[in-house]
Amino acid sequence: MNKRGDTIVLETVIFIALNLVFGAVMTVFILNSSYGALIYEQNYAKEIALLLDEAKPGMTITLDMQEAVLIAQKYEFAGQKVSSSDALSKIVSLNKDLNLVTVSLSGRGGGYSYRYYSNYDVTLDSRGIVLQIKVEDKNA
Amino acid sequence: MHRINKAAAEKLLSIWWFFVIALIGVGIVAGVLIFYSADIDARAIEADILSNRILFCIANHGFLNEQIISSYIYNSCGLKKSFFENNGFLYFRIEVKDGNNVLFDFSSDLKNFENDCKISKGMEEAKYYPRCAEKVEKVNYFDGSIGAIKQVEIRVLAGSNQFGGRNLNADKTAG
Repeated sequence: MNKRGDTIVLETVIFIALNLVFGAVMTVFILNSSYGALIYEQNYAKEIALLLDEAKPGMTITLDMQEAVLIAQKYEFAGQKVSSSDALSKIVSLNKDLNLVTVSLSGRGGGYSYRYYSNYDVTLDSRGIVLQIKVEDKNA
Repeated sequence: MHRINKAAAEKLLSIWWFFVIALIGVGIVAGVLIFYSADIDARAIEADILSNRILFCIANHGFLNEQIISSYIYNSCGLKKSFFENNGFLYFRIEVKDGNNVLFDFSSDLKNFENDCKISKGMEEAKYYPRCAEKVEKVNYFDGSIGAIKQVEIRVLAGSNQFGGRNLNADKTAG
């Protein structure tokens, strides 16, 4: 092939390669976003906080978080994949001093937090994909 | 007239092609980010739950417990007091009326919530104004002065302006 032919082939190859790189980057971004981690984090954090607001002492609330566990299993938490048995303990956390519920499904960015105004004693427990919330009177 | 040869024209078109691709990429990323970062507004529901909670707390089994309608209400009804004062995001007001007579009128600190709620009701776009809920109920009340039970009206107004967010654990202040 002459020099002009070499140049044309090289340019075409670079052109196609750059297009493929762009397509791959967009596909990865859209796939990651389509898991919906951002929106589910907010949804679950607010749902749990509102349940705590409505709960009375002596209540035990169970919440099916299968969707949250499925999303969290697509990510890594501290460099490790989560299993369905221990996912909820990593996904949902409670800050009793600040009355804050935090849900993190992607293992990065700290997750989404929402405050609950109930001043009762709250404990979280997980049974696989089911989150168990116990509410007790602090003075009991 | 200056003419560009075919090879040069193709080179110029390539640059233009990548510019268009970059623009499309930015548009897709921006659209997806805007969609998935949308806020779910739970303030109205939160205010509704709060008004119900306070109402059932002060009017247990259909009888008004007037002793709770004071600063003891936070402990009695299991409410975190700091969220209702200073930099808080919650508000409530309890009014008990016997006809036109106001027997009790107690509210938490952030009294500007009442006006702000009225403003947000009348506006189409009022994202940063609080959302309120009101509950009215008739309950029995033992009036010690006349030694008889009568029916009174309780009005509970509750408001919320909490947005939630990310990295709130680092914020040590309430509200």
